Formats: sequence, C-alpha cells, structure tokens
Amino acid sequence: MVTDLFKISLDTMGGLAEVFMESIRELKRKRPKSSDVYTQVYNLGIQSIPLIAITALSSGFVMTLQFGLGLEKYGGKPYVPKVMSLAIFLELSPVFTALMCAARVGAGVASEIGSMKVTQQIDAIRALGSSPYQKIYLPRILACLISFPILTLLTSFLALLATAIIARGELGLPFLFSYQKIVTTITPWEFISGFVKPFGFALCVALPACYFGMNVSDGTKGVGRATTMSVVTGSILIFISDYFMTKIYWIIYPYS
Amino acid sequence: MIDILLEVKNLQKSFGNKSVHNDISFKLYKGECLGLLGGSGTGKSVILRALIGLEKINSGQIIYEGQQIQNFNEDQWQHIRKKISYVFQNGALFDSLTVKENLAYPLREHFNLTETEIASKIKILLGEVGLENTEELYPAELSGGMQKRVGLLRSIIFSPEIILFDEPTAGLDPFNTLNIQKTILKMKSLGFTSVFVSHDMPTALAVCDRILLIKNGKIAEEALPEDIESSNSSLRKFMDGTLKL
Repeated sequence: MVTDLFKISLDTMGGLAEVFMESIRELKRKRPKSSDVYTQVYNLGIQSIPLIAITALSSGFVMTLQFGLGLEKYGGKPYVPKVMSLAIFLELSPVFTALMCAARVGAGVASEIGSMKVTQQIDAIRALGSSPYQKIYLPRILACLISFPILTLLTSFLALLATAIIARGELGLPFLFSYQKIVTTITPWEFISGFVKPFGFALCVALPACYFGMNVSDGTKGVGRATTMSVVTGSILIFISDYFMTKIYWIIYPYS
Repeated sequence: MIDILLEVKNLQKSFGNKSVHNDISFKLYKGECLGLLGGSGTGKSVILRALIGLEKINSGQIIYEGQQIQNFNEDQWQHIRKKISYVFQNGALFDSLTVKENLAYPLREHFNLTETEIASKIKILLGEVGLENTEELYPAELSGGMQKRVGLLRSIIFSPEIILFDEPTAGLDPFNTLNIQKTILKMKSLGFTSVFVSHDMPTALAVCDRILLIKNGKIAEEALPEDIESSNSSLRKFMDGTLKL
C-alpha cells in the first residue's frame, strides 16, 4: 500500500517534470498563438473572478471578525488591520486564490483535455501536423501564469476591503485608521512575496491538470479520475510549495 | 515501373504482453488505394496509427521517401503528417469549433492563405460533399455521417500525398456509405494514394485496387478485388462471413 503510494507519487512527479520540460522546449521552439492564450486567459482567469471575489470577501469578513473578537480581550483590537494585512498579503490571498483555482481551473482543464483525449481530438491535432503543446497545453499553462498573480492581487484588495468594512462596522475602527495601518504595514518585500507565490501556484495547478488530462485512459471513467487527481495533486503541491517559497523568502529577507 | 510511395517491413507491435502484429510487410504504390482488411481487434488501425507516428512500433521499418521514419521524433513526424493524413473513424472533429473552423484549422496552421481564400475553399469543398450551409454548425449539431464527411474533408483539405482511412464507413447507413464511397473514388481519380482500413467488404471491393487480409498478426493474403469474388480464397470466406479471424 505504502510502496504503491510512493511509486504513484514518483510517477506523478516524473510526469509533471516531463510536462514542464517539454513545455519549456516547445516554448523555445515556437510561441503559441496569442489568440489561443487570450482565449484561455478569459476562460481560466476572467471567468474565475466571481468565485475569487466571493472567497476574498467572505474570508476577509470572517477572519477580521475572529481576530477582532479574539484580540479585543487583550486590548489588541487596533492591531487587527495590521495583522490582517500581513496575513492576507503573505498567505491567505495567494493560497486561497490558488486553492479556488485548483478546484475550478484544474478540474476544468483536466476534464477538457481528458475528453479531447478520449474523443481522439488530441490525436487529430497531432495528425494534422501540429503540436498539442502549442494548441492545448501551453496556452493553458501561460494563461494560468498570467491570471494567477492578477487574481491574487484582486483577492488581496477585496479581502482588505472586507477587513476595513468589518473593522469599522463591528470593531469600531475608523476606515481611515484601517487604511493607514494597511499601507504602512505592507512593505515592498511583503508585496513581492505575495506576488511571486502565485507564479509557482499557477504551475502547481496547470501542470497536473495537463498531465492527468493528457494521460486519460478508460473513457469517461478515466476523465473523472483525472479530474479528481488533478485537483488533489494541485492542492497538495500548493501547500508543499507554499512552505518552501515562504522559507526561501525568509532566507532572502530575514528581518521582515 | 510503378513508384513505391511507402513501404512497411517486418512491423511488430505489442501492447504489454499482448502481441498484435508479428510480421507485417507491404508496399504502397503511387496512386493506388490499398485495402487492409481483418476482423475486429486484428490491429488494422494500429498499422495506420504507426504510419503517421501516433503509435510507436516495437520493431520493423516504415520507409517513406527513401528514409526510415519509424524512429522519428515528434518534430520530424509533424513534417511527415503534412504529407500523410489520417481520417479518423469517428471524425475526431474539434467539438468547440464550428465546421468552418475545423476545416480552416490545417489551412491556418500550414498555409499563408487569406481568410477570404480559406472561406471560399471551404465553401467549395462542403458543396462537393453535399454539406452546403453547414459552415457555422458545431459537430454536435451534425449527424454521424456528416461528421465523418467533415472529418474526411479536414484530412484532405491540405492536399496530402497519402490518405489513411480508418473505417470511414463504420456505423453509416447505406446512403451515407455510398456518399463516402463516391468521395473516396473521386479522390482516387484525382490521383491521391490511400490506405483503406475496414471490414466493410462491399466498399473495399468498390474503392480498393489491392486488398490485404490481416490474420494472426500477419498479412495472410493479398488479392485484387476482381479476383476475390470468383475465388475460394480467405478474403472470399471473410466476405461471406465463414472465415474465423
């Protein structure tokens, strides 16, 4: 059982590395058509905005309320905007955005590619003398790399807005006070940390989605399995890579 | 002397422990339509897929334009696939694209044509196979026969040298089967070379110049269509349904 799990994990990591290397090779050889990338930015990025907005606002509301009520006992209420802005920029926003995208984008891409594989559309692309990497995989990977940082920024903005609203409505902290605390707390380094992570998370979502999609077998049953594996693998990779990216950030910038 | 366009020598293919082809050898001559017949599961489609690199073979040679192509990498295969096209059994149309976009796909990928030229070419071709006014329809809005004809057009629209037909008449009613037959015969008259894989004997007899029977992973028999009906060969028995493959 454990041996099987280890073998499957190694196989998956090898497969993901292969997809990553092949993507880079294809990108060096020829760039995918910009119209294909724009279409995917719309499908995977812009259409994710409502989901991201709901996640950002609700997590901002709830976390501010929890922190506010918790810190109030110790007279720490004025620190809520500061604590929240750090939490949002460094962790909540990149991770929540990536997890929501792993669910929506990862599942969508894996099932779409899997269905194309089952109905021989991927073979048809190859048979017509083009590369599935150029037409299918690369536009989706690049669209994730473009969309995730922007979506993360949007999440941060909306979550901070939610913080300011709850801080004023529930904790009695003026809007301007929250704004000043947020602006003075977030340094360029924190901003960069929050902005760099989404690039890594984009790969954590896009690569498993493409890999499991392109390796679908067993018809529709296989498509379902690939979709599940894509979301599970993407989510696990987000958590693992988050640790290492945070660690690297603290090594580079230890006194923040 | 007739030119050999493509040659397969001692092709072997297995999936895991299951051997599909033990020793397949044949030649494809310029301008001919070669039929590959055999029962279900005898690996007819596997041979076609191997000819354009969609399936790797275990051993043997595939010789095209004087060079062995069986070990080509994906970039090299892309070059070959502009000259050898594959007509998929189910059409394999891109379901997110309209008929027009499906047909325009290979033209936009490989040729520097204007959109007007592409639209005009598509309109003419669709008219020739009785699919007028279907440009803006999606594959899901077409019948099985129409999808196969669009798939066939998409494979020949860039004028390949060789066309590989993978069961183009499977699952079609007699009217649509006849339509496909006519299209193949028309392409043959235009000089296209093709390989026709099927177990539809009447169509094979109508369109093929030579027919090979695959049995037990080997070419069991080769015959001319006109000789089959009058003989007592395996192909005749296959046609009558008395040959167990």
